[in-house]
Amino acid sequence: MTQIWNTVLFEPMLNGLLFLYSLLGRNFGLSIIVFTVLVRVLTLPITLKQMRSARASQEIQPKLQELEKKHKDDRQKLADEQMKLYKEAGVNPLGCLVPTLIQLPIWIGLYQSITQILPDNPIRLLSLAQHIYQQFPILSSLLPLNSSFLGLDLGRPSPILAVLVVATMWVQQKMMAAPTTDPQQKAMSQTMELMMPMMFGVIVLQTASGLGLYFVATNVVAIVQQYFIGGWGSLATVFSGLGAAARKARPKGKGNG
Amino acid sequence: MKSYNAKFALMVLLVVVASTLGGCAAAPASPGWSSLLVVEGTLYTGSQAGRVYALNATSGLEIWQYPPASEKTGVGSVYAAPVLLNDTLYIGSLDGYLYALDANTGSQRWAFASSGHIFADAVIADDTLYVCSSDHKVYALDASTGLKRWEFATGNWIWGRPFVAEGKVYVSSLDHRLYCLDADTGRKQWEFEEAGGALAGGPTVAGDLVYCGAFDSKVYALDASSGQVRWKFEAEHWVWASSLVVDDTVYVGSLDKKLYALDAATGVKRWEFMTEGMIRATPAYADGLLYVGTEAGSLHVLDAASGVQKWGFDVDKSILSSPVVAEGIVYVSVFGDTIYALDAETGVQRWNVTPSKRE
Repeated sequence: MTQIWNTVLFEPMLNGLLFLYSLLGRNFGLSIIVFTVLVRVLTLPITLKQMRSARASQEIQPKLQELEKKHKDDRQKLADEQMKLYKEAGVNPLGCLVPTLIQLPIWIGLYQSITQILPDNPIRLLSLAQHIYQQFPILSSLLPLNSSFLGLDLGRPSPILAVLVVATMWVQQKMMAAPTTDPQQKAMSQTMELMMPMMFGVIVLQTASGLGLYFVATNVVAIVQQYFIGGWGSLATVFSGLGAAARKARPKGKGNG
Repeated sequence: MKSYNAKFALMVLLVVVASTLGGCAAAPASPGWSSLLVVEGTLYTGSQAGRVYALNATSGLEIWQYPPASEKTGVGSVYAAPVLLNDTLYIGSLDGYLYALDANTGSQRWAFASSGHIFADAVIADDTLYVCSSDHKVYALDASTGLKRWEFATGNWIWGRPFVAEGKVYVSSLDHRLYCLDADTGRKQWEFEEAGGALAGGPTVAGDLVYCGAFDSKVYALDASSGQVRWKFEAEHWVWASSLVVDDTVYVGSLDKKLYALDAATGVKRWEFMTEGMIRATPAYADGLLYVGTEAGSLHVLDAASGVQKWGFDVDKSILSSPVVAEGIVYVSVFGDTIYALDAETGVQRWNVTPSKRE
């Protein structure tokens, strides 16, 4: 199983990153960004499917809530009606789950590649040696990689990147979140939207910042994709809330003076 | 509600995956290898837990440990082999320090701080100690006081031990270069920069040639006075191990799992021996036999002249440091700090011990 994983996913990714590194003037930060964009482009059909599914799911939310009110005492009936509605709207309730699960191995492969490619001790370098394509001598000649990027050492943790990861992930999740009036669902949604970025932020604080750069790059690409498909989503309500708060805070009678 | 449950499940899954990944990455550096020195019935070694041990070479029983057992934490992990001069033992650690210890008691005499991990063995010539560090530098220290005489900076980490010969210090660096320095002043005499990969193992000097392996899978033989390439030999994977030169033959292992015997003057291959695992460490030689360990956890004992295997010994962990042969016993340190003592002629096990697990 490990062998299949390495051959099919991990090693192509690792060596692909090294190829990019040699093409992009031995700039590892740039290689991570370009590689992330390439992976995002390649997985665009899956992402689009996921986003459309999420959007369709959002559109039928009011009808789902109506059904819940209508059949609150009959769970079986509610389930049947919900399935009927999903069918009519052409929505798979797990539609947003499957594409994400498909992308998960890609994320893990990328994660492994980034962490392995910057070995800081002989044991890790020995482990890396087992995965570099020996038929391309240029790849071995690149080691050890130059890990500097915009004043950061991509082999060490960076608080700046951790903050950027939290911010970009929160924005992305906010844009993708389905609007809801149910207080319980809203509370759960908000907890998740905060917990996930914080979790990743903590991880980035403890790992090579090359991984943080990957997370930031992938979040930024996802934000752009989401904007063109669904606009600002729930983030718009945050903007309008902030605008209202700013208007409220403005001193009264300013216009009379 | 179903889609919310699904979303929640996905979030939980992602959090679990993320925490697992984070946990893996945040784990301390992988355990490494420990190296050995055997002198007059005492075996000296370091451990990944950051302790230095002196053991009775006949029985494996502990004589002393540094820091003493009363101190709960050790220093940084120790990859390097200790070196001994008179009654002082010198050993580098991943905490960046080179420690000078009383070889009889294990008490510290002095410590020299570099700015990077010390993976490489130190080398002593006359009264000077040469030590390389991951801070890219090689240091020359007064062996009795630890005071720095000079330092020389290369362009990257130095993981291999230096070699001192005829008033020159030869240092290979992961910056893909090999440097020849004046042993007294540290002034650069020449540098070799034609290697197509990093040089992680230390160079070896024999006669008027310097031998070094590189990550471009080549073994280079250079003129010791000028750095000009006399010959090169290509293996099928990186050459990390330092070369061992016995008489007119160079023995060198590669990550291609083979041990090569090359003509020292011409680089022509005399024989090769295929093993099961990558060869990272230099083989040991005694009485016409070569002792070579592999990453797959096997020790092969070969006839040095023909490359024919005499006997083998398998353990379940990698052998990444050089075996040591003394008084008819071959000592092997395996991943995880276990040391095996085997009869050098037959391979029969005399004892094994994991000093770090004995407390």
